[in-house]
Amino acid sequence: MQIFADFLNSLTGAPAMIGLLLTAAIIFVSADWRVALSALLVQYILVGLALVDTVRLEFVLVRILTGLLVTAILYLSARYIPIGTHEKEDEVGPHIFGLHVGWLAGPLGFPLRLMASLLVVLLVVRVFQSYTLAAVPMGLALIAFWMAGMGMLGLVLSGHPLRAAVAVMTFLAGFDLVFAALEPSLALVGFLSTFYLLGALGFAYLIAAHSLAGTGTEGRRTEG
Amino acid sequence: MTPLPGAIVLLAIPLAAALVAYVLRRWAPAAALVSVAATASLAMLCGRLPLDRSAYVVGQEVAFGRPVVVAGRTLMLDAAGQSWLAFLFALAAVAFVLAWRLKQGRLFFSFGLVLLSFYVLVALLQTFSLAVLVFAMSATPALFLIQGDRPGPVQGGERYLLVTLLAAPMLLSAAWLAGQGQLATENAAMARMALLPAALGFGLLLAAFPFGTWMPALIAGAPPLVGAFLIAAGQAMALFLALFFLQEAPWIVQDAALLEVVQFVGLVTVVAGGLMAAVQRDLGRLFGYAALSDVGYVWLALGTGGSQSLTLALLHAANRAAPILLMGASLALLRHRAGSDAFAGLRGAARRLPIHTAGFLIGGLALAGFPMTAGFATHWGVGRAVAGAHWTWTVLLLASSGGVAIGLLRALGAMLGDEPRDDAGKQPVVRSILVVVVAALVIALGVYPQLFLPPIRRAVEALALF
Repeated sequence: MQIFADFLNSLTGAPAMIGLLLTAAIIFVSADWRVALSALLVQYILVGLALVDTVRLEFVLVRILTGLLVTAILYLSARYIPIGTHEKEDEVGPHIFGLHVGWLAGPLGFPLRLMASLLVVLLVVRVFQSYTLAAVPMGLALIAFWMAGMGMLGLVLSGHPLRAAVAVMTFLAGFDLVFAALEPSLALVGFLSTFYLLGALGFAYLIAAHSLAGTGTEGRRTEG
Repeated sequence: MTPLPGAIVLLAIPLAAALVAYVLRRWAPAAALVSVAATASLAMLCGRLPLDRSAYVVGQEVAFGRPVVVAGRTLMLDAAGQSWLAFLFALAAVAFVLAWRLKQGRLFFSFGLVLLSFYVLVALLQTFSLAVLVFAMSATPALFLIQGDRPGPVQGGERYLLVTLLAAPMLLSAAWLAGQGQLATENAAMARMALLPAALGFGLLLAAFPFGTWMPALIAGAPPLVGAFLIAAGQAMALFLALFFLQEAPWIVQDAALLEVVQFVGLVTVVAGGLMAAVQRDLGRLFGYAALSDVGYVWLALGTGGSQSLTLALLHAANRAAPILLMGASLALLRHRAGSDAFAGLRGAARRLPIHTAGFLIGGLALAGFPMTAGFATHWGVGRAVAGAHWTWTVLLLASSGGVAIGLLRALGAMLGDEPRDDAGKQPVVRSILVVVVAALVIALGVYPQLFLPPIRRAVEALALF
C-alpha cells in the first residue's frame, strides 16, 4: 500500500502535467475507442493528481471516482454496439493486439489528425502569450487550455456519439482543472460530479440508440 | 400546522406526476390526463398564490414564497421565478394536451415532467452557478424525449446535449469572473473578461449566430412537439439564466457598446435564420430556421436596453411559444402521414390534411411576424426600436421575414402538389380540433398581444435590472 501511495505521490506535479498533455493527445489521435477510453481513464486519475496540491484531498477523490464512473459508463455503452459492427470494423486497416493502427483509421486519418493537433499546440502557445489570470497556476492553466483545445478539435471531427463523448469529457476535464482551483465549494463539487455523470449517461443513451438503429456500423467504420 | 413551503410543492408534484405518468405510459390518455392535471394546477398556483403570505389550497396551508434550506442551499421562489414557472407549466399543459392524440413517444409525459422539475429547481436556486449546472443536467432527461421510442439518427439529441454541456463551463467561468469584479473594484478588468465566456455560453443556449444550428437539427431529429416544447421552454429557461447573470453583473446593461453588440448578434441571427428558411426543402428544418430567426428578436429586444425593452423581450419569448407549439403539432401529423419531412414526400398533403397544413403555415407566418398573428406586435415593437438608429436594419428584418415566408410558400407549393397520396388518411377530427384551438390562440395573440403582459411586468419589476 505504501509503495502504491509513494508511486502516486511521485506522479503529482510535473509528471501529472506531462501525462495530461499526452493523454489528451492520445484521445484525439487514437483511432480505436478502447485506446481513447483507456486514455480518458488515465486522464481523470492524472487530473486528480495534478490537483492534489491545490484542493482538498476528498475533493480530489470525488473527482477521480467520478472519472472512473464516467469511463465505466462509456465503456459499457461502447460494448453494447452489436457484434456485426465489430465485424465490419475488423475489415479496416492493420491491427496490433486487436487495436487499429492503420494510417487511414479514424476520422481524417492519422497524419491529418497529427497535423491538426500541432495546430492546437500553436493556438495554445499564441493564447498563452496574453495569459493574465493570477489565481490559477500557469502550468495548470496551460494544460487546461491544451485539453480544452484537443477536446474541441475532437468534437469538431467526431461523427459518432462515442467519439464526441470522449472529446467533450476531455474538454470538461480541462475546465475542471482550472475551475477546481478557483471554486473550492463542496456544493459545487457535488453538482459538477452529478453534471459529468448525467452527461456521460446522456452519451451512453445516444451511443445505444445510434447502434440499435443500425447506423452504428457506418459510424464506427468511419470513426475506427 | 406548519404551512407547506412552495418550493416543496413545486418540486414534489411534477416528480410524483412523472412517476404516475411513467407507470401509465402505455395508456397515453391516462398519462396525458395526469400530466395535464399536474401542470395546469401548478400553472394556476404559480399565477394566483401570493408570495408574501400563506394561502389554503385544498385544505392545506401553503406558503409559496417561504424559503427552504436543502443541504445548505436555499430554495426560494421569487416574483420573477413565479412568473417564469407559471409560463412553463401552462406551456407544458398545452403540449401535454396536444400530445394526448399526437403520439410523441411513450416517455414524453413522464420525462417531460422530470424535465420540468429540473427547470423548477433552476428557478428556485439562489446561486447562479448551481442553477447553470442544474439546467445543463436537464439535457439528459431531455434526450429521452428527443429520441422518442425509436432508435434512430441521434444528431438532434447529440447537438442538444453538446450545446448544454459546452455552455455550462462557459457560464460557470463567466459567473466566477463577474463575481471577482464584484468583490473588489480593482478586479474590474477581470469582470470584463467574463463577457467572452458569457457570450459564448448564452450564445449557445439562445442559439445566437453562428451557434444556432442545433435548433434545426433538433426539430428535424426529435418528434415535432418535443422539439417545439424544448425550444419554447428550454430557451425561456436560458433567458431566465441570462437575466439571473445580468443581476450578478449589472454593469453589462449600462454599457451601450455591449448592448449594440447584443443587438447586432440578434440582427445577424434573424437574417441568417430567414435566409436559411427560404432555401430549405424539409418542413422540420424550415420550422427550425424560422424559430431561429424569431429568437434573434429576443436578442434584438434585449440589446435595446431599458425596462421597456426587457418587457418586450419577455413578451416576445412568451408569445412565440404559441406559434412554435402550433407548428410542432401540425408537423407531427404531417410527418406521421407522409413518413418524412422532405417536400418531395409531402405532395398532396395539403389536400388531405388542410387544417394541419394551414396550422403549419399560420405558425410559420407568426414566427415571421405577419400581421394578425402572435409574432406581429413584438416584431413591430422591436423593428420600431431599432429603426431610429439603423433604418437599414429594418429593411434586413423585413427581408428576413420575407425569407421565412418564401420558405413557407415553397412548402405550400410542394404540399399542394398534383399527386395526392393514396396512403394519407383523412383529416382526423380530434387532432384537427386541437390544432384549430392553438391556431386560434396564435391569432388571438395577434389581436390582443398584451395578454401575458401583467405577469411579465411583474417579472421585469422583480428582476430590477434597470
